[in-house]
Order: sequence, then structure tokens, then C-alpha cells
Amino acid sequence: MRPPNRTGVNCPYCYEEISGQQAWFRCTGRISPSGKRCPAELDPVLRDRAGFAGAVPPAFAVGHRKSAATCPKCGGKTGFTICPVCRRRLPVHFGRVGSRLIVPVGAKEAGKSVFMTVLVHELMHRTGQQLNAAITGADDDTRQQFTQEYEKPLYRESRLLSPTTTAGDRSRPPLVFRFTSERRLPRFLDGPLVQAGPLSRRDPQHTLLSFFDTAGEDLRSQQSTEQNVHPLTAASGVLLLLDPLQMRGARELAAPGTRLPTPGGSGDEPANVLEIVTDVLRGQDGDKPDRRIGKPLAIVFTKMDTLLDSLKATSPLLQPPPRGRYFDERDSVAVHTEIQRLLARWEGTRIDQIARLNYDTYRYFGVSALGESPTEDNRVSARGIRPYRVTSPVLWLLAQFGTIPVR
Amino acid sequence: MAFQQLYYTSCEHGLEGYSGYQFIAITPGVRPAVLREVEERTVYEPPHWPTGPDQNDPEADPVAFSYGMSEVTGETIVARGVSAGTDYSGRPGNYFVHALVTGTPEQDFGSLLPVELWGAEFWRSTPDAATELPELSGPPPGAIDRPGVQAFLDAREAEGVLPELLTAVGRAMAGERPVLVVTSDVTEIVWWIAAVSYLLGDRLARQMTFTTYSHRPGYSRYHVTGVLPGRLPPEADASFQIFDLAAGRTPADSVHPLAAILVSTGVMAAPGLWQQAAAFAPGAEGGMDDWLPPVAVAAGLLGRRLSQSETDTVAGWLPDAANRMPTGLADMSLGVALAQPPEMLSEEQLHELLDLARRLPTPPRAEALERLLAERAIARITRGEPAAPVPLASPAVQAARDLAIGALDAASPQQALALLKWAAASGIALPETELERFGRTRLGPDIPERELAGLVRLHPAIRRGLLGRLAGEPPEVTRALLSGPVGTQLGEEDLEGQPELTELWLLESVAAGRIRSVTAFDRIVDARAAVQRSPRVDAALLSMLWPHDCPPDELAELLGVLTDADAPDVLHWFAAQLGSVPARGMASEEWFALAQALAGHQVLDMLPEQDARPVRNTIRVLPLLHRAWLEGPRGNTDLFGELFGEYARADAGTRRLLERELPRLLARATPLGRALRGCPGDLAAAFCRELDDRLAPMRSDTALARRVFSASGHPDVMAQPALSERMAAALEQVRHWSRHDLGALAQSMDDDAELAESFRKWRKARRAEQSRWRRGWTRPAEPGS
Repeated sequence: MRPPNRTGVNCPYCYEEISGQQAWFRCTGRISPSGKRCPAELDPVLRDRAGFAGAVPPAFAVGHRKSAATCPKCGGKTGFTICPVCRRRLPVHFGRVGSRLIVPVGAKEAGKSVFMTVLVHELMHRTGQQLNAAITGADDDTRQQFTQEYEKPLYRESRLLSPTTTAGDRSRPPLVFRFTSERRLPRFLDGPLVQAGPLSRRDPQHTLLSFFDTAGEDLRSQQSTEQNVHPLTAASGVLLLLDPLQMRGARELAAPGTRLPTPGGSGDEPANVLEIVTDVLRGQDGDKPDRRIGKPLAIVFTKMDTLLDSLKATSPLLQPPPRGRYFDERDSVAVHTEIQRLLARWEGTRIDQIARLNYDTYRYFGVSALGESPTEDNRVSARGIRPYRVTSPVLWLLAQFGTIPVR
Repeated sequence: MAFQQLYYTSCEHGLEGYSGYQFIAITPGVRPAVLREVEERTVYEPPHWPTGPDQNDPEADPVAFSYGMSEVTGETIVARGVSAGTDYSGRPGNYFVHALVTGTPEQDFGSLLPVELWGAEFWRSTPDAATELPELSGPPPGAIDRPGVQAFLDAREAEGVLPELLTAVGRAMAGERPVLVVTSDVTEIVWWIAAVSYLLGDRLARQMTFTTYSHRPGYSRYHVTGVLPGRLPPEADASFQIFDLAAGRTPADSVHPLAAILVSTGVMAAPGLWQQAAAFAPGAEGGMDDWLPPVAVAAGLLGRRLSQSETDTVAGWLPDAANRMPTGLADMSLGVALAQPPEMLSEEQLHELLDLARRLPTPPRAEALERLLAERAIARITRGEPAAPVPLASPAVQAARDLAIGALDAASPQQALALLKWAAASGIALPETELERFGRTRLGPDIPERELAGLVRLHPAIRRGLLGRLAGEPPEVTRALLSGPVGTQLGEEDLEGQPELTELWLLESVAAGRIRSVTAFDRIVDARAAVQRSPRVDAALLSMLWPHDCPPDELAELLGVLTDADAPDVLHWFAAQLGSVPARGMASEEWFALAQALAGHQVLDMLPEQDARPVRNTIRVLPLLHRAWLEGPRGNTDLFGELFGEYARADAGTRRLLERELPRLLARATPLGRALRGCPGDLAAAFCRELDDRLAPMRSDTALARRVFSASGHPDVMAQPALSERMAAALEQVRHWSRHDLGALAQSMDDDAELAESFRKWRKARRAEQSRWRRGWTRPAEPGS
């Protein structure tokens, strides 16, 4: 398995590569030791690139990267590093901790927003505990936005989320989380004796995860994908969410009473979506036509709860997912193989052909964010949210990045 | 041109050919960039109502009515976004946008302000079957009008919030923090926006962008954005101006003066104010700061009394703005400024306005300003403060003159001085009668000299007045005054007609060294002659003019005015001056001239014999001395014989004169030996003392040394052993001259081989003596021994 093809550090908000650029800081806007205070002012770059329209203290560039700088206007010290391209404030320790951009893309109605909400919620609570890891919002916007606009309606108000608007809407910045785990020991040391001994307290290891919630409409064509899903090219890993119920073979296998998606045009065909994403990734700088794409691709089939009844009793998809402090490769490969097999039933073998011929590293996953179809009035089932294998794709990607152990 | 219309929502079949969010109907010809801009600007997310409104009732959701300008295409976009419930697939959160786009907003809006389209009937909340929409021209107004807004404001007692809100909007339009208005009833926001629009006037209101609702206000690109409670972005206070009407919280910043004027005018009267203000606006106005002066002028014309800051603004703006408006309007603006209480305008502002009034020109305004400035300046001077001159060029000068005269009567010397200087610098010609009266009645010896001198310097009339008063003062008082700085300020023309003062002034001027004694003497004599005063010359006058010795040239000049009838005291004064001649030394051209003048002068006959005799001797000797000075170096040595004879016959005073003068003349004589023939012993001794001095090594007079060396062997000298010895002794000093000076002396004798050889031998003999002395044989003779 080849490591991801990465050459530099990308801003987790605008996804532009910034590792080779000057370091930029933003004044704190507080009274400096000399008694001066920089007034907040409109930052046209921040407004045009990041969409934020409010006034902010002035930004300034410094010659080289450092953790703090002195504002040339007020003389105050600031540690607010900002992206030189979009001028958003970067998370604490950005550039000194691993930064991974994970972009969930998928056709309209594939359930990307719900998947992402449940995924983060699970990472924050259940899976985090299982992996001895913690995931937290890396900035105020993410904390407020995730709580208010994703978690609260879905978990507290049991309401489905509104469709995501086009990526051209700059008012919805990416959600950036900090995934903190313990630094891994060499495998030969990672035994039960060591874990009980003095080496059990290990240093934390941080990884920034940036999720850009895309609109399905943005994947209609290669052109609109390139225009609106620019983060795809900068992503460390891609989560491609496909709705199996958009595939003719699978629709017939859906459980009775399943709320079937509106049959779309050719643009909504899962194989076509994969083709478009592949073309976009192929078109990025540095891609060689005679080589497969190195970027790991998790092909995630959502709403699997509607198809579980059609599976054989021995299907690994019916087995309870493993709950160790590592990524279970054996279970994952079993699921991958099972879905490869199912694609033939779902009339989706073209998906496997595209993936096999274009990607070095790809894997199939079957998930269900809610665990059950929502009600007719767009509410979560009265039985609540019961996610099914929803964290597996991200754990696989984290394992690819070396962030979590694999067994 | 007309508005292009666009419908946008999530649907199964739209213009794009797929399901989802897209335009479903548009007016043909809308550019793709505009479509993208409208799509981005009008994103709508329904609020998450915690309680209250029915979650499934889209009509309970706020309307996002927005007005803005595309930063990409520059086109104006008015849009109305509403919640549309579930979409074609049953998913919640759908919305519907009806947008109007125009590139010619001035034409298409007509007289309507953007906010007045709120509630208009043409807005659609659901799509219809058509995919092609007609252009919309001349849209009808909606639910907003001025009376409605006034009623809204009245019901809310908005006086407290509205000026602040208006100020905040103005700041946002100037590039400062955008305004977020938080209220739970978003419909209320449109009324606030309407109130601000009406107050801002047509031009500014069309520049103000707004939206009545944004789910994500931190990313709203409008000047004013409506927000529901609980939806403020993190640290919103630092980035936005928050008006939380639900909580009664405002930024509590200072109110802009324009906002204060507009709010006090009210939405009903605002159009009239703006119409008036537009006339005064040169046309380049941007924000509230630019509009404040013309609006303040308009408000002033409509009868509003301007505040201090408004007055300052108008006064600061008008001098430059007047260049860009018709003269009549500039005159009206100036009138508004001048209609305010005078204390509201600083002197600097008044000066600038005066410049403007003259430039326009508006003579009545200029006169009023000149009068105001003159009053201000005179008042300042009488308070002891400095005042800048006011160049008066209008009839106001008469009023200023009267004021200055009035102030002069009560002014202290310093204030009077300042006042007169200010009047002169301002071009105010004060009447001479008044100035003379001032000098006579207000000035006198009791005023400190410095101030008095300053005052009299300013005007002849003041000097006349003062001198008139001094004529009545005791002479010693007057003399004391004239001897000081006041005297320096006077001229003879000031003293005309006052001979006594003139004489005093001339005497004091001589004492102060300002004029020559002889000049003063002539004028005094003339002045006395003019008034037939007798005597014209007296010893007291002469003694005052020449309290010490009278210089010989002036004495010679005075001899010309002596007459037979001169009083004895005058003759005695002359005798005393002439009698002091020998004591003063007389070897100068001036004394020679005096001697010539005296020769045959009647004064000698008029002098008593004991006074006249030394004078006669002196008169006889002086020409000889003068000739010896001129001709002695040229070989005429016979003169010395005559002088030696005079010496033998002279009185003691004349002898002292010759003993002082002759050694210097002998030292110049050539040949010296012959000149010394028959030299009396006392004179010879005096001459040798002169040699001792001039042949000393410090002076090294080479030419004299040569003459002395040559003369030392002359028979006439050898015949006088005492003289010969003294000369040899004086010459011995040459032995101590420097090698360089000795060389020069030897070289000076190169033209006379015999003399040079003799000098060489003399030196050799002296060196041999020195050598023996060094070896201890014998000591050489000391110089002069």
C-alpha cells in the first residue's frame, strides 16, 4: 500500500497548500503593552475567500514560521496564526501536528450530512472511548456549527437535516476536529505487560481532521465538481458516499416500506459519481496517467439497514463490528469482499471496475448512520439513532494515515 | 431596461436537468455569473425553532428580503427568500427564492427605495409552471411607506435606538463593522431598515445593502442583517455592531451628528431636508461624514439651530465646497453659518469665511464678518490677549475705528500699544486728532519708558500730543524723558515750533551720542536765531555740548562763529580749550588745521595775554613740527635747527610739547647725524630714550638702527659726547637682536660699502668681546651703560 501522495500542508479551511508560503498572523485586538489597540476592520481577503463578513483585527505577514509574532501596528504579541490564503485563524499547533483533510462526497440524497454528523458524534463518544482517543472541535465555528446545526437537530430534536446547499455558499466553512490519541509504541513493545507498566502513559498525538460537507448537486459533472468541490484535490483521503438504493438491483432488495430515493438522472448513478470523482482526482497536478491514484478512497454504501434483510446469514455485514483499540483489518477486508460480491447483485460491477483500475488503495464499506429509515415527516425513528458500522471508513483512513493501529 | 426575474429552489425538474437545488425559471438573457451570484447570495436556511412556531409550518419561518450589489458583475440584486418546507423528495429545509436583477437600478427602481418592495404583490413564494419569466418593469410598491414607518417608530419610542442605529449603518457603509439587528420578530427588522432608508435619503439608502434574515450572520455580506436571538456568531461584538432589540442592547457608540439631524427631522420631513441638502452637495459625497455639512446647511435653512459640532463642520467644509457650487448657494450656506450665535465660530473659522465672502464676492457677508472679527479682536486686546490683524476692506472699517478709539481711552499702556498696532496692521487709520488727544491726555512721564517709546513710535500725532504735554512739564522732567528711549523715537519734525524742547532734545541727543555736538550747536544757534533769542551762544551751551575737550577740527569750526560781541564767558571757554592744547598733543592734521585757523584770528587778540602767549607759541611751533614730520625723512634737516632754537626760547608748555614731539620726528630724520646738530641736551636725552625703546630686541627697528649706526660716526654727533655715548649705548642693544634681524640690518647696508664694512667690523669686535666674556676674561658692557 502506497502512502498518500502529499507534498505539503494544506489549510484545513480553504484547502490551499500553504507550507511554502510566508507565515501570517492576526493581531489579538487587545490593548498592547504600549497602550495601543488595533481596531477591528474588514478584511477583504477573509471575506472573499472564507466568506466571513465581520470586522477583525489586522493581519500581517512575518518572514518565517514561528509560534508568535509582534503586531507591527500596536506592538502587541499574538499567537493567532492565520492561513495566508483565506486568512482564517488556523487551529492551535497547526503545522506542528498532523493535518488530514477528509472530504466526504457523494450523490444527492446519499446522506452525507447525516453520515458526517453521526460519524463525529460516534467518534466523540463511543468510538473515541473504544480507541482511547478524543475528538473535539478545533475552532469556535466548528464547535458552534456542529452543535447547533448538526448534532442538535438530529440528536436532540430528532429532525433530519436540511439538504446541503451548494459549495459556492461560502457561509458554511469546513468542520475541523482535533483527533487526539496516544502516541503509538513499536509493535514489539505494544503488549499487555508494557501497557500495565510505566510506559502506559504515552504522549498525546494530535491529528486535525477537516470535513467539508458538500452538496450532492455539486457532483453532477466534472466541471461543477472541480468548481465546487475543490477540496477533493487537496484531500488526504476521500469518503465517497453512495446510496445503494439508487442502483436498480438494490432497490428491488430493499426492505418493504423503505423510503426510496427519487430516481435520478444519469448524474445520480453511483458509478457515474465515482467516475466524476476519479476524473477530478486524475486531473490534479502531479497525477501520472500510467499510475493509479495513491489517495485512499473509502467507497461507502449508506442506508445499509434497508438491505440487511437481503443478505445471507453468514454475511460479515451481519456480524457485530469489532470493538478493539485498533482497526480490525480482517473484518474490514471481509466486508470489502462481501460488498464486492453484492455489487454484482446490485448491478454495480462497473463501480468495482473503476475502483480497481484507478486506485491503489480503496475499500468498500457498508454503513447506516441512523440505523433505520426516518419517518415520513422527516424525523428520526422513535427508536432513536442506532448507527451501524458508521465509523469504519474513517478508522480505515486513519489507519492508512498511521494515526491508529491496525491488526 | 427592466428587472430580470429568477426563481430558485430544490426541485425534481429544473433548468439544469437534474433534481435538487437549481433555478427553475428565469428571464432569458441572465448571465451565468449572475446566476451563480444569486445562488450564493440567497442561500436560505430555516431557523431551528426551539419552541413556538410549528416546525413544519414554513410560513412561520422568517422572510429573507435582501438588497445588494454583485461584487462580480456590479448588478443590483433584490431577492426574497422564503422557507418552502419539504422538497420534491420529502426532505425538509427546502426554500424558494424570487430574485430581481438589474444593471440599471436608477431607472428600474424609479422613485422607489429598495426596501419599499417589501410586501409587493409580485413576489412569488412557490414556482409556477413557466420556466421563462418576463422582465419586470416599474414594480409597484409594497407594504412600506413613510406614514407606516413613522407609526412603527412612534409605537416603539425609537428616539433612543434610531440615532445609534443610523450611525452604525453609516459606519458600516464606510467600511466599518457591519450591523446585526437581533429580534425575535424578523418582520420588525424590515421596518427598522425602512426607517433607516427613509432617513438616509435617496442616494445613501440605495447604497445601503441589507437582508432581513440570515441564519449565519457572520457570513452575511450586507451592511445590515437581521438575526434571530441565539444566532450570533462567536465573539460577535468584536466583529459586528450588535443591536439586540430583544435584549435592549446596543453598541452605545457616539451618535453621528448627521444621524442626530436626520432623526430629529423625522422620516416624514426627511425628503425635504435631503432635497435641500442635495443642492449644496457638490456631488462627490460618499458617507455620512461627507453628507453632514450640506445636510446641516439645509437644516439651518429650514430653521434648525445648529449645534456647536455642526457649526464647526459647516465652517470647515464651506470654504472649499463653495468652489464647487453656484455663488448664490454658497452665499446661502455662508448665511447659515453666520446665523448661528457668533460665539460658535472661532476666529480662525471667521477668517476663512471672510476669505470666502470676499472671493464669492458677497459684500454684506464680508462686512458682517469683518465687523465680527474686529469686535472679537478689540475685545481680546482689552482683555490683554493677543489678536490677529483683520484686513478690513468694507464699511466695517468705520465701526472698527470707532470701537478702537473707544477702547483706547480705557486701555492700559500695553493694551493701547497692542490696539494701535492691531489697528495699523488691520488698515484702520485712526483720526490724527484722536491720536494727538491720546498722546496729550493719556501719555506722560508716569508711563513706563518702554511702553511710552513704543506708543510714540507708532504715529506722529501721538508724538505731537505727548510733546504738547511735555511743554508744560518742568525741564528736568522733560530732559529725563528725552534722554531715554522716548528721545530716540523723536525727530526734528516732531519738535517743530517748540524751540525749548528742540534744544533739550538736541542736547540729550548729543549726550546719547546720536548726533555730533557741532551739528547740535548749529541747530540750536539757528533755532535761537529764529525766535530772536539772545544770546545765541553762551558758555553753558558750549559746556553742555562739549563737556570735555573740544576736538581740534570742531574747535576750528567754532572759530568761525565767534564775533566781536561774544560774551566773556564764551571767550573764556575758547581760551580754556586752546590753553589745553599743549597738554593734549598736537601732532595731527586737525591740530595743524586749527593752528592755521588761529593764525591771525581775532580770538588771540581777544584773549588775555597770559592765555594768548602759549597759544601764540604753539601756533608758531605747530607748522614747524608739521613740516619736520613731512620733510625730515626727505633730508630737510635744517628745520630741526629752527625747532631747537624755538625750544631754547619757548615757555614751559611749549617746551613740553617739543620734548614730546621732537624725538619721534628725529627718529624719522635722514641724515640723522646732521639733524642732531646743535641738539639741546634735554632734547638729546629725550631722543636717546626714544632710541632705547625702538632699538630694543623686541622692536628691532632696522631702518632706525642703520640711521643711528651711520650717525654715530657723524662729526656733529661726535661733537656732542653725551649724545654720542647715549647713542652708542642704545646701539648696543642691536647685539641682542636675533640672527635674522641682524642679517636684515646688515643687508640694509649693502648699498653703502663703507658703512657695511664698518658695521661688519663693529659686529666682529662685539663677537670677540662676547667670546672673551664667555671664556671669563672680561664682561662686555651692558647696553646703555
